[in-house]
Amino acid sequence: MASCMGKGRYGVCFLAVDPHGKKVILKKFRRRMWKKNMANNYHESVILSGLAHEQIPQLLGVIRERKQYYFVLEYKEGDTLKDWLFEKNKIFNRTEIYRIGIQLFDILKYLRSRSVVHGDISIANVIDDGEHISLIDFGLARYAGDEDDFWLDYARAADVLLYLLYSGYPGKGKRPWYEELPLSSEQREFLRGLIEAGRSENGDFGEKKRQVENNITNIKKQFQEYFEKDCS
Amino acid sequence: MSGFFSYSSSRRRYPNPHMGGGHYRKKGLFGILSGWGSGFGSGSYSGRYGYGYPNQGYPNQGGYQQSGPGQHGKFQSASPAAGGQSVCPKCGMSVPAGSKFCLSCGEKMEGNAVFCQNCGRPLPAGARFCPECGAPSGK
Repeated sequence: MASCMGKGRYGVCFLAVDPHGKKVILKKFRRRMWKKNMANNYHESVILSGLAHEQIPQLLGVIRERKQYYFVLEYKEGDTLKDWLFEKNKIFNRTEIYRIGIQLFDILKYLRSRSVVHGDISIANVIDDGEHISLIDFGLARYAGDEDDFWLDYARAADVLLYLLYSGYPGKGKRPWYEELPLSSEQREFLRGLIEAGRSENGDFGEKKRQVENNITNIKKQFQEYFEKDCS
Repeated sequence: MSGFFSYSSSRRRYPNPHMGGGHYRKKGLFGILSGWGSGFGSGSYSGRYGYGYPNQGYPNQGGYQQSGPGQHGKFQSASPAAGGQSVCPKCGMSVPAGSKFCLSCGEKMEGNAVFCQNCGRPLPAGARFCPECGAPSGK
């Protein structure tokens, strides 16, 4: 083991080197959490076993040593968006936001094709190396029960984009984002539609959902159309 | 002075909701001894004896059970377990359909990681069609 990469409710992630000298991540589960979620622990292993995408870490092995459980996961280069934003205070320009958005919707399109809902898309679970992003932490991932389940991921992806859009924001944030951020009306409605539609408790859930079709291909196309102009 | 020993400082005031009846079980040596006897324990508390996977009604999984505390060390046959699940040839534990590795011992089980080409969900061992979307498994 080389260093601790991060801690969470589930346990701790370590950077380690395998016998071939390749970097891997060891995800060690807290015994208490493992026992508490015993009925659901297998989801991450099963879902990762069924995914083969270069922007999603592969499950390389399971280690049980004494009473500890470890998942061995592929190491992905780069820092989390959370670190870029809050540790390195990076300001993302529109070209970078576009690149990250397109890649994120690409990953979501792949997950949709495999019936997987990630369930925890956030700036802490997206790694960026400057060229490519990776989506990590499938601890809350599940197979979708019905079509509406995917909305959670789309809404959380829109949240990630909002964080990036706010990175260069100089104001005090006293008004809601859709009034503060310098966005075109199309961009604003697109993001708002995704975020609102992800809230199933919301009264106008059906209305918002109709505005943005429940089809990841269309969502990606709309994002491309509305945000590509900013990059030139 | 009724509040002298506050409830928050008493150790076993709040039962852990995930512990089940185990909270009320006697701790220490006598607790262990009573667990061995057939008349004292409830028999459903398996957490203390290692990690098990209760039956969890998951689609395609059809039940995921391990041997109980009394069956440790016994080898199970390597045929597919009930509900289309596989059994680890090394440790004999049930492995959920789709998992590339045994979650008990870490043994690699590539043959168990079969997924529907159409919807991507795990296929139970020996399935010819996906139970979710009905697509043929290609076997």
